[in-house]
Amino acid sequence: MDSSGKEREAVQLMAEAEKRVKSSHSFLRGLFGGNSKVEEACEMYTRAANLFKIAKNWNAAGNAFCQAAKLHMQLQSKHDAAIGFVDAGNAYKKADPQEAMNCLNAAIDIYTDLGRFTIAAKHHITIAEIYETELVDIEKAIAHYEQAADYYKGEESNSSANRCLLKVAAYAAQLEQYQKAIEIYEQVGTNTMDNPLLKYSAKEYFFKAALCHFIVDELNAKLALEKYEEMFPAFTDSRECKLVKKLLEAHEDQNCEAYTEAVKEFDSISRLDQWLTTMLLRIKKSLQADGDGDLK
Amino acid sequence: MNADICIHAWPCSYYLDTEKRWVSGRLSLTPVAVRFTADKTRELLVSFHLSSISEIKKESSSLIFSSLTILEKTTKHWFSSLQPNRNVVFNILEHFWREQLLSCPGAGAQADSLQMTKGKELTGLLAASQKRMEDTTKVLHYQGEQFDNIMKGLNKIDSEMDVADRLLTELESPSWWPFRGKLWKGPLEAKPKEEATISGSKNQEGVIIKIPVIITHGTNSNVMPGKFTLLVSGLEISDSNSQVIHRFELKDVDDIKVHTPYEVSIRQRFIGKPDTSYRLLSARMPEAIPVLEMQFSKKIQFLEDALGFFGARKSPQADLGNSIWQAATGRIASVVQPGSSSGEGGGGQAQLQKQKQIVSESETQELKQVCWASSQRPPGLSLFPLDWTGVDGKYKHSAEFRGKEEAVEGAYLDFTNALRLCSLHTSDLIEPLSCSCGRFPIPFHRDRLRPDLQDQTLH
Repeated sequence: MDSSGKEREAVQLMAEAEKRVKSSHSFLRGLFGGNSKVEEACEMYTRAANLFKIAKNWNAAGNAFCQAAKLHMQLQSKHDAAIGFVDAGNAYKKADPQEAMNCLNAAIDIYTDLGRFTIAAKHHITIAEIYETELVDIEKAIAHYEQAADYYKGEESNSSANRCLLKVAAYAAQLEQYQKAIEIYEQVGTNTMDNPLLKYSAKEYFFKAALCHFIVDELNAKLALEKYEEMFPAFTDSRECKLVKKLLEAHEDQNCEAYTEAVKEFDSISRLDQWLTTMLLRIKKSLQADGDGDLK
Repeated sequence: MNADICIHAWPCSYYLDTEKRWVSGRLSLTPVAVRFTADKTRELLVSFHLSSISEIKKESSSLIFSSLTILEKTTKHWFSSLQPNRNVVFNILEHFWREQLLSCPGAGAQADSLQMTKGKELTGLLAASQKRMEDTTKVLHYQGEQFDNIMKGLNKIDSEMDVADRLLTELESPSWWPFRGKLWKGPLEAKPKEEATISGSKNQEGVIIKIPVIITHGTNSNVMPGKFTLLVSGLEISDSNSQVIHRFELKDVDDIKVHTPYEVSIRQRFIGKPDTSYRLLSARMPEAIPVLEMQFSKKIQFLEDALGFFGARKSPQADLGNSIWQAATGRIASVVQPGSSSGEGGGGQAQLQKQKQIVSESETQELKQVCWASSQRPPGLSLFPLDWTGVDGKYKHSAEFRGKEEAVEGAYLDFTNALRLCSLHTSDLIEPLSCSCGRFPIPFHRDRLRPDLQDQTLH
């Protein structure tokens, strides 16, 4: 097969590159043009990595990129090293998520060293996504999203920062860390409501914040809702606000049917997404539990 | 409705996280719960209530096997090799999950309530299109920000090209040439900003600001007190006896790093010899930084600490711009005014023209206009006698300022800043203004002012 031929070629290149690196370590070589040897080895590793990529041997490709990156570090070319680590990370991502994260972390370290925080933040997001999908560790994913948001904020990229923060908030709410979620939604909501372009989505954030309040305590939700209405008058007219009001009313009367009816009506116009379904279900569950308690 | 009745069952495999292996078995769904039983051992591996599900997702494990993941609180369950088809299972599971929320336990099937009226359908359409619009605006905003970042990057590249250019010209000129790249440069440069001739700039004193500083030279750890003078033509560092230690011409400065709001370092790069760099620490540095930022907009770099500080002090970015521009305009205006008046006496006007590096009258006007435009003044602005002290006590403005345009401009900016922070003499206005919403200045139209104040409008 074609790809196996490529792989063999790649393995040969790797061996060759290793030899170059070793020879550059000898004393005389070190004096005369040792660096050029290392440079050659670097190039060979990269070529080998690309061949591995064609053969879809992701582990080997990642390893080769990683070697090249380390040599670049030796040669003091930090940018190239960082790019190498990112390539390695991308290759590893398909086979060995843990290793991919190590590579990406190395790249992040270099980028933060160079003061290129936007790129570092981007890779933090990549890591967070790996945590999200491959290794299910939501807590760590949140930590990385937060880091990314911090970097973006430092660089005044508020839109990107908000994106990360919203992710954090959604996960925090799922993990029942409602206070954190509320803070983020309120903050993002207040930031966006003054923006002529983004003010249309502000109601969504306030809606979500109100729901989080609701799960914790309905009185808080009422107060929060009033606050949001004062802050952002357009929120009053939105369907979201009306829904929350109806839900609060139903909750006050312990009327599970009214609650369901309100949710159903909302759902018939715009389908609830999974996050909202989860949150509304949680409220409903508490409502049902309360109702049962009263009956007994 | 029997809660234990099995609605549907699918053969599939489940990932055991503790043993890191897949077990084959059956996934079964009852009206209220999801269960998984292993084929071999017949033991119940997974069982949870439908309402505790927080997310159902179609994913692929290791990018090869299509699988279904169910997030239950914090644990994620992986189901794979679903038969007959992953999508079928997904749809059914999601349907029953949503029904948990949408159906009432007491009431029976209410087919009639599901009937869609025309109006409802229309609302639905509207809601959907609105949602799309929201998504679009978000993406648009994001892309706009990307463009901004690109511009910033380009600016930075530009400034670094400037440095490279200077170093190259320096290399090009023969080593015995006494002027080292200074005379070569003049005719070559296209940009008027760079067309600096050195002669005569010594005696041209356009001092913008002079502050006492503590100086550290290069990597030397010695500190000594001194003075830092910002001139229109450059920067001057002198020791405590007013002896000039070093003078940077405008174009000689390669980069300025703002470490903290009180500490900056200024550097000039050289090929083949160590860089000249000074690190300056001063309590009054915050006054100088806006001017530096204006003079060296491309070369100035805020390090993390400083950024954090500035960010905390003025969270909306527009404000940062406003106050810096405003401070800088005031300074430059005050420098040029005396400069030009004294210049008229000694034929300095011509000299001023020749020295394009020095900010000329027309340039000041232009700068002021730019500053003014950037402060987003609403049209129809008018002024009224105000007597207040800015919250930080820094700015004191009163009605005396009327008539002096630049002062009035400054006052307006300060006013909008202050308005946000404290309540003012709003009795001067006909309508009391609420300043809680919006970070943009509230327009004061003539007709919103007391009639006796309307003659004091600006335009």
